[in-house]
Amino acid sequence: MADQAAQGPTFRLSMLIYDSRYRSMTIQVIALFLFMLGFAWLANNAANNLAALGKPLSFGFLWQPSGYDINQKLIAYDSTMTHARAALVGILNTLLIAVLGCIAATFIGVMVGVLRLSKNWIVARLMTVYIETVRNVPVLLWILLTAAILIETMPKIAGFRGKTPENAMSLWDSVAFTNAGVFVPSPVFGAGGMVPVVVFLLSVVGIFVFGRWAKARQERTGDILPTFWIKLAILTLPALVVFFAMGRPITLEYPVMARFRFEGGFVIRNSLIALWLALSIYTGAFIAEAVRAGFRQFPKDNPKRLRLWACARAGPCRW
Amino acid sequence: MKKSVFLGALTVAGLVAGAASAATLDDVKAKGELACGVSTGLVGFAAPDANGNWAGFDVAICRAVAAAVLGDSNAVKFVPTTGKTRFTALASGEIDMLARNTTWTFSRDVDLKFTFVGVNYYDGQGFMVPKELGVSSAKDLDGATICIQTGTTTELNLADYFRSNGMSYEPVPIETNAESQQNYLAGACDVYTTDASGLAATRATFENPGDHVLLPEIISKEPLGPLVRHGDDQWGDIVRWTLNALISAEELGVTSANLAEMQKGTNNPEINRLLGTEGDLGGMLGLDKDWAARVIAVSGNYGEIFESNIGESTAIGLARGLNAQWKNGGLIYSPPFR
Repeated sequence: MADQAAQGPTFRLSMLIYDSRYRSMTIQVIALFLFMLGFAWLANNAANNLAALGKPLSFGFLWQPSGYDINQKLIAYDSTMTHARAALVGILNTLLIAVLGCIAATFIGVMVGVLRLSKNWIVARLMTVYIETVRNVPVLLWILLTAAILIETMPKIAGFRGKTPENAMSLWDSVAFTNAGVFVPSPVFGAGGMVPVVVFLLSVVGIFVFGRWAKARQERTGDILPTFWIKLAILTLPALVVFFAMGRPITLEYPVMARFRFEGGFVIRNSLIALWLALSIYTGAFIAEAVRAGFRQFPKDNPKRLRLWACARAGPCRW
Repeated sequence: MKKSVFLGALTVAGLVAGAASAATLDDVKAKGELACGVSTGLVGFAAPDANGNWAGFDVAICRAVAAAVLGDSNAVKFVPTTGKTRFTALASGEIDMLARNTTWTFSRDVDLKFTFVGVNYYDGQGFMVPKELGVSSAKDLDGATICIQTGTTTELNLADYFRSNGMSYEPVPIETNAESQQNYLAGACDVYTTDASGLAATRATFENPGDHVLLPEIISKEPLGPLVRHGDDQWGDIVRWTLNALISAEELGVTSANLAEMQKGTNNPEINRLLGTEGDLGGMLGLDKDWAARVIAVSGNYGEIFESNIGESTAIGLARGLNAQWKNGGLIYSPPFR
């Protein structure tokens, strides 16, 4: 008897309704169930109606040949491949633009955010104008505007054609800025061409190893090494030495004008540049506001609070 | 009690909705206007003028149907659609019919469940290039940059043509005719490809049309025509026979000029049946006797519409070619009005 009392009253099904400890949970479970039923009914309804309209919800088409070509692709693709493959090409392109955009937008955002807090009145106001203008115009318009500017103002690709082209390539005839895109040289890896790359990657690892060693040494002996120059040497010298010792296994393939456009090398299309610039400029404005808000956390008039603030972030505080 | 009232109301609403979507004719009459899908702007076929009034070869079909059904050729709501949005707009009921340079293909007819009611323009895909490029044949286009509208049959034909000829190209996908015009004129693409009629219409709007040539190759068959949803045969018949009335009117010599005269009765029984002075063909369609006369009164017969919008007297300057009456060696042919 004493044991039973310690365990409390046994659970009965009716307690789901009559016991206030469980009742709210019971009601929520029932509500969730009804909600899911309602959602399933709506989804089923939509599927049936779409089927009646001759548009059944089916993803079978993904495995049919697509029949169209895509210009910007990171993986092999042609018009005989499936819609699923085309979708994958698109997803990879989205990820590419996301990564590029993140980097550029962060850079722009931090710079503008800091500059907006500048004591220089003109600089600060210019940044305010940038942020307020950019944030309040839909991003699609920015994309169209950037694309139109690139198409209309960049040198025409037709000007690069013919025996006596009107337009000349930049950077010692290696890069062509045109209104169809930017054509740049691409690396060609000859026999053993990957060796310098591997050496370079090992150098990157070496920098971190050296950094830890140098820090430990400094704490032990108090000596400070010129780590920047040593790191730079570790990063570049081994790869360069290997590169030249192996007889330059990596060469550059330059874009050369063919009948219609540059062949060889690598093309960064206008559409990609336009999308990248527009997204970076647009998102950068939002990041700039976040950066500014971050700096505003500094209580600049109150040294005591500023110190508190810094301490809170630095960990254990010593007064 | 309350619940049964609610359920009853739901049932009635469902029945009404079902009936409304089944009979497009009643739907259009109830709305008092015809929602007609057209292109976003292709001069000669469908484009708004400076005052916002739509005009063109495809627009004329919309107006003719509105005249037949509602008796008012201006009771049309023109819905601009792109190559991608047009089929969704039609299938969802946003528009009652589509007249937008749309190619009649097997999969659109069968798989997408549309009814193509006829062909109002027999077309084929062509290429336009700047003259200074010095290209005289599509076979010379290996490696060219080509502007192409997405979601069209031309996009697929282009891929097939270059693959079967072992050539490469750089596609520049674009959404509307205006966008491709911008890209093409700025030189961002060397070639613009779409239906030959569309190329001619686009070239006519250029500052210097003479600087651009259409290549001789026509790489596909593109029978363009109006279409409606599957499942409403009466509505399909109305659009089909409106188009046929325009074609027959040309064949029978009924024009906007002599229409009033002909309506008084003629010696030709087919004209009489067409214009409703003999028999009751209109009644069989669910319309009145004068429906075809109203259709022809809007802007004349098929030939007149062709001449005034895209014919040789216009800037677009298309010859009748395949689109001449069958009697003149073309493919335009209407089943008899009997």
